[in-house]
Amino acid sequence: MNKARKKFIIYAECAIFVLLTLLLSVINVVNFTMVSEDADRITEIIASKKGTFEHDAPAEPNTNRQQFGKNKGTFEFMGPDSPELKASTRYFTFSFNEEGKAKKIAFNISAVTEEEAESWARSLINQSTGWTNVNYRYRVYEIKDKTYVTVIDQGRELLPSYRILLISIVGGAVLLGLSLIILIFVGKKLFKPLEESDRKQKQFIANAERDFKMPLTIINANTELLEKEHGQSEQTKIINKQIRKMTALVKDLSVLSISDDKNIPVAKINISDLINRLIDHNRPKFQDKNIELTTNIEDDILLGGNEEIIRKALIELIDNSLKYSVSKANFELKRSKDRIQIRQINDTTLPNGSADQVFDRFTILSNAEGANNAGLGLSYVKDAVSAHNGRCRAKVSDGNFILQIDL
Amino acid sequence: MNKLKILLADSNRDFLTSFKKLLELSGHEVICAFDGTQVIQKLHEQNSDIVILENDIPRIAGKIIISQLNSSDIPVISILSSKINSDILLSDTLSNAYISLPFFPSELEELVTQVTDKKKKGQKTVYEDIEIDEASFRLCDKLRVTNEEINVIKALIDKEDINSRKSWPYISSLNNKLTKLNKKNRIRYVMQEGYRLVTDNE
Repeated sequence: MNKARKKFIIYAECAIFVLLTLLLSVINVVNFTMVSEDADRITEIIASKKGTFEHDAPAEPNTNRQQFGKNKGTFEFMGPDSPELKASTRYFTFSFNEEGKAKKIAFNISAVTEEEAESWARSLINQSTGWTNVNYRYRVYEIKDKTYVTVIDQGRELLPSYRILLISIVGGAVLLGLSLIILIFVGKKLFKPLEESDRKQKQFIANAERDFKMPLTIINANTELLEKEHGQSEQTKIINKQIRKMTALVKDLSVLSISDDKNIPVAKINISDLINRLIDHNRPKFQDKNIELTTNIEDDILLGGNEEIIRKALIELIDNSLKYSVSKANFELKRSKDRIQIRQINDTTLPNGSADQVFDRFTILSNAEGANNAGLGLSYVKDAVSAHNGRCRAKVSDGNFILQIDL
Repeated sequence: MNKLKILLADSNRDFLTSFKKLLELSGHEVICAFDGTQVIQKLHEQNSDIVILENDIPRIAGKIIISQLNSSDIPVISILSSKINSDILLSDTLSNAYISLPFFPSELEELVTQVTDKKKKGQKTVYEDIEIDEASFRLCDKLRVTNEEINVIKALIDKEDINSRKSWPYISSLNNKLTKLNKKNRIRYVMQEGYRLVTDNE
């Protein structure tokens, strides 16, 4: 699978994961909070009735059925304010005097015995309100120097919440899986044209290399034949000039294409030596162009890679700075953590932020117009660096062109 | 320039016609062949001073033709559609010279002259334990080397500057061959001087 496609799928999947987690978390947190609030409302009602419903007047039967559900809001018949509250609440209340003596105020629960309930209530005396034993909500309050503890069973109210939580987790996981499948499918469709165009570009370069070479050589030979037979003319001169230009471009093409061959031989290269050597070799050329060349190369940095590819990439890098530096060029090589960093900085006439496309094939920036090149140099550098699992970045800031390679 | 009998072999007819005429204008006698069987046939029919051979010629593999030419001591220049690389330079059957498309006619003629001159003069160069025999295109009487490799190593012996970009594959293949022969000299880059033959202690 293509690297860009993989990246897209991973990023999109991460985004979906984050959004889904956020959404489901909010739903569940809000849901649990509301259940807690409802429970607190019930214990509050019980507290306001001094710990028990026992002293309530018996509920009046609803004689006016017309009223039910018509004039009263639906929610009044649900939750804590429902008229069924008294009958449906499973709870117990104990009061404790200052000596800690317990008194049963109400006991309307089946899950525990009275003794258990009393010691349970005693253990909650120093609390205020909260959940206990998973699905019991308690409230501790004072009435006339006595501490009241009311515990209600909210199991039936909590069950749907736990179901929603379970559905959220399972559903979320299923959704993530589904989205991954969709992304892989979409990614394939989405990236197919891109991958295709990349492949076609490479194919074109390979074809151009093969199919242009022979005709060029033959045109070349026949121009020379014409000149030998009929003498040099304006026309043959022009043909020659154009042939030379084209020959240079075709040679560029053939040099600057990395084969997709997976079996590129790899060895440990002393990249410090290599850079030093290449820069040293090109120093006179920089002097000829009056470019001040500075270097900052850390010694004995080793890199596992293909020497030929790395060498060519470095030559292109040096060539690039030789061609486009105005008056200053600088090369840096250093180790940073477990990576090797190469930086090439030179002054430039390019405006800020105009370096995004330098790594694209056949891209020639405004400061290189008219030059005899195919715009392949830095794209080769990028290909070479990615073949070694590295990363290339370039930017123009305040008249400086900065190219950074992390290997 | 000496009049030479050249066997020119390439599957492209236009190439054959153009270069036949060019080489004839330079005073050579040119025989053409457009596939491998023809090359073998023409070689049987008449002697040639030098063969210019398309590396991927159809019908008979270039390698087989080259090894036959090597054994009958006829120099051969191979035309490559790719760039020269160390795989080619280190292969068992080695041409006397390689030229990559696209090239200028003068480059090919220069190569013809260089190869035939070397062959004819048969100069021997000795430097420490390195010996180059230009009559047989051999390094220390053992490994075959190309015209360009001879030029590079001779330039190094004479401490001349060499163009590292053009010579890189040859430097690399020469180092490889020197290692194979257990010679103590290697080609190394010396700072501020360029490529030099140095004794390697590694």
